[in-house]
Amino acid sequence: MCLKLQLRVVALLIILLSGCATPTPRQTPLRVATNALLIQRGVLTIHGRQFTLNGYLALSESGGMRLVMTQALGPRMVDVLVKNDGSVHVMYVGPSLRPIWIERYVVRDMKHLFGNIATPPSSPCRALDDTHFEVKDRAYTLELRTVETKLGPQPAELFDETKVTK
Amino acid sequence: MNQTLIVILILTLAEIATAQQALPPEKAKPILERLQLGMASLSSVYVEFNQERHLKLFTEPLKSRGVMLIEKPDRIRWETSAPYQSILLGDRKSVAQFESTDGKWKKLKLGFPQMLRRVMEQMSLMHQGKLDSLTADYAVSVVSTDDVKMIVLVPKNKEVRALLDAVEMRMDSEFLAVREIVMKEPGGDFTRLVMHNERRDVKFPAGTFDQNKPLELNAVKAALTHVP
Repeated sequence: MCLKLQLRVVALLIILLSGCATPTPRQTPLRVATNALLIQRGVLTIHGRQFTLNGYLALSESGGMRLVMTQALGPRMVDVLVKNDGSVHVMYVGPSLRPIWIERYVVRDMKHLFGNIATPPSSPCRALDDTHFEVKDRAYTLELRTVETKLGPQPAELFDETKVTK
Repeated sequence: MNQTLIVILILTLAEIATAQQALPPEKAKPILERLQLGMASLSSVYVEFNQERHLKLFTEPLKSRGVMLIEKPDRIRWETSAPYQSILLGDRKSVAQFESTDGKWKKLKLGFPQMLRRVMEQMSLMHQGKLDSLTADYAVSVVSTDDVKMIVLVPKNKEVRALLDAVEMRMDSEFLAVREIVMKEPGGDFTRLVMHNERRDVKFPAGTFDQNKPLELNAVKAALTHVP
């Protein structure tokens, strides 16, 4: 498979990392902490094929969220900020990824799993316990675990979209 | 002079400084040949690593640790033991990955197995000093000063360079063993692998590289009497 095609397929997988469709309701907010950095490990299954991803999710006291996703053995793929007012700022998107995909899918799951809002009934996202999360969709599943939690206030710059990191 | 020009100037000077440190090919060649010759007689390597993921966003590096096991001619096991548990196993023909869920290993049905096998193969080749096998994909140079001994691999493919600036293999003073591997990304993020407790020519027990039911790491360690 040529490199360009590989990059595009990886891009597709990342999009689907957080997609939502099939109802698996959970009405209560799933957020597990504020003022913390969550280190996460995800296994994405799509069409029977599985991929591992690492996530670093910083949570502010006021509800801001900053997620950096990386490949298991590779570079940063996505950097996205969701401010406490709900506004979304895609800070970095890796090659072959589109910001709209991140906004539409990744951000939606960030909000459903860790945001300060009630999860909609239609959400396929649910928490199995405080550190174990699951997203089930007709086309894919995501099993996500928080493997380490670093408690403490996160730097204010993380939640400021004007502090751009390229 | 505006800030952009200052940054460009600094980057240019840094690039010139780095380029000046690289040995000319006629001096680099014998070092690479000696490394490859020195590693050629090895049958296996056991090495533990501490990995630091340096993301500019975060004040502290994100740390993990694990082991890498290599057995000639082509078997490799890369196991992360903390903060999550994952095993990658590869040889020339295939690759397998296991993730630990609630203390139980689960084999993944891998997507892009060829790509992962290629990454594993390159990691194995780097640690065996077989750099001539990597020249199709990387430009290889050698830096040797009183303080720094390293081999630098720069991807030749432009699309790969968009993800990976360079791989620096920090060597021991004799250029015979890899001490650190630094993978530099565009924008300043990097990953550092610090190798320690390296043991050479160990005899791995059966099952160490089994791609269906790999032997538990504790059992592997227990079988290697000279590995702490």
